[in-house]
Amino acid sequence: MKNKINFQKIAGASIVGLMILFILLGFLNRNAFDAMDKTRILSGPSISHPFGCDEFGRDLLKRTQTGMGISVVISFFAVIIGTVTGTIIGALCGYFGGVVDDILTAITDVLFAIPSLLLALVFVSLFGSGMVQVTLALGVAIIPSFAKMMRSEFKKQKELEYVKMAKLMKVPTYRILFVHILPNVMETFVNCIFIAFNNCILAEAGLSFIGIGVQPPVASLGTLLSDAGGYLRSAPFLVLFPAFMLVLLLFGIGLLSSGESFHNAYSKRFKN
Amino acid sequence: MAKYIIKKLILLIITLIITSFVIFLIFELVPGDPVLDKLGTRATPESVEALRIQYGLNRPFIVRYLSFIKGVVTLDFGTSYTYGINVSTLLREKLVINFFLSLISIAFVILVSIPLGIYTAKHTGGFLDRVLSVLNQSSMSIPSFVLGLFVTFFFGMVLKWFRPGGYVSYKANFLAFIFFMIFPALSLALPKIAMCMRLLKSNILEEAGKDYAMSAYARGNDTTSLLYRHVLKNAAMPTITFIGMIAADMICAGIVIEQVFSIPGLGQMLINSIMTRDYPVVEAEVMMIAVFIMVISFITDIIHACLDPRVRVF
Repeated sequence: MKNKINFQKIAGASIVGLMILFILLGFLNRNAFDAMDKTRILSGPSISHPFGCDEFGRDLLKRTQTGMGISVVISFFAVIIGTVTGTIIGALCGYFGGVVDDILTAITDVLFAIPSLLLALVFVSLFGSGMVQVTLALGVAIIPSFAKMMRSEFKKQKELEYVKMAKLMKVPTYRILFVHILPNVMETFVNCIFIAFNNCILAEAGLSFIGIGVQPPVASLGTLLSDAGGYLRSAPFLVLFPAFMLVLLLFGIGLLSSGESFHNAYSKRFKN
Repeated sequence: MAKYIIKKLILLIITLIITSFVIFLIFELVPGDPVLDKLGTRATPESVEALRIQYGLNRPFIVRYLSFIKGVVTLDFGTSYTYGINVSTLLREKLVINFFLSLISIAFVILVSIPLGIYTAKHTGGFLDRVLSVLNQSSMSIPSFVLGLFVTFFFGMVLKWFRPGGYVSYKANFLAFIFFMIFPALSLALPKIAMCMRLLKSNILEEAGKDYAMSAYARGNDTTSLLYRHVLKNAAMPTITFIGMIAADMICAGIVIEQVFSIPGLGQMLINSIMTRDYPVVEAEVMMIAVFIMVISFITDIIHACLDPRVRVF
């Protein structure tokens, strides 16, 4: 069992590593992501353009690389925002309890009821669309689930001997929270991060797909796919390559957050 | 039992009130003025004032909030800024579309994942189990809209089972409408089927290792009756909750899927009204989705309590 999980994680890590390498190789790609070439409109894969060219004759390989880079960067920062805020809220709620906990739990429950894509949509509608806004929107959207998960973990840890001991020894509270307890909930924490990262990539792609993510000329994977959707009949490779890369990336992240933890994460959500 | 339901109901109402307030407040704080947006360059102070009175924007915040609440209860959300007709009439049509879309995909999820989950749990390590667990991981990582594109390509262009983009209104031809909906529903359902199956399987295996299952086995039950009479009831709990969550999620995932299949549903409406700052429509729609999700979680709680007496205690 243990070996199998390790194998999964290694496979996941290498896929994600390859994807990051793929993005970084984009810097070596001489083609500009917005350079148009009239002679190459919708031309299929060739040696100079391995992924083919889109409806304006732009190199799809370069566009996929930059697009994926943008998706990853947005999700990365969104996860940082969500993780830091969510963990602090969850830790405070779970550790202290009381009225603050009740109020914050009520608020997270409300936010939890609104799907994160919808939350991001509303956020984007308020502050306009663009990379920064989308990042913030996704970051805010994952706070509730993070806070909820962390809260139940901290609540459990709070009752354990070592925390009581630390309290008796007059260890400062912030130290108990983030130096004593946090390493003990690391497993859930890391898995939450991977699940959140997965969701962010998905949500970002979804947002750009419906046209309210990053705005042209910048294009993320979602934009590429939504543009390519119109040429499904004449140039299916336009969908195939970005979609394949996106799925591969999600697959790698999915492997990193192993199946068991997926199940635990979901069931934990409901055990208080 | 009645006490538990009442308690949950009160909680539901409180959460709904908070949610409605949050939603209303958000759209109150939005930068930009819908009236000025609508009038554009033609705006004169008089016409702006007149439109404000017509939309009821001249009233104080609390009064407008209360009338919004009244609207939620009586299902009358006022008039749309862009279309000039009643929001409820506008939404009713879209709601039917999304209702059937979600219903068909939930049906897919339940009909496929539960038998497969039980089967793979019973025959763990078998051929089908191994094939499915690989397929599972991969289908979980395909976003539904990518799947939608593949479905359009494969069923629509290669097999020509349906015409891509050829949405049929349910009023015109109900059967054709349902048939068209099968494809978006399929692309919505597939990743969820994988998750649901996996959850059910691991829950069954977890429950089967517990003491009560062992003692039931010792009393002379064979594997089949052990599974169906003892284990399944306990193992089904998280799956039921999960299916409830899926149902809630469907509405949201539907927003993107509608775009792929060009279905004029709630999602398209939501995006359009966000773009045109048609706040009565956006508010009504977001509120409706939130209500829908909360009611579903309420129902799953009740189902839980019916199946499992331990839940009712607190």
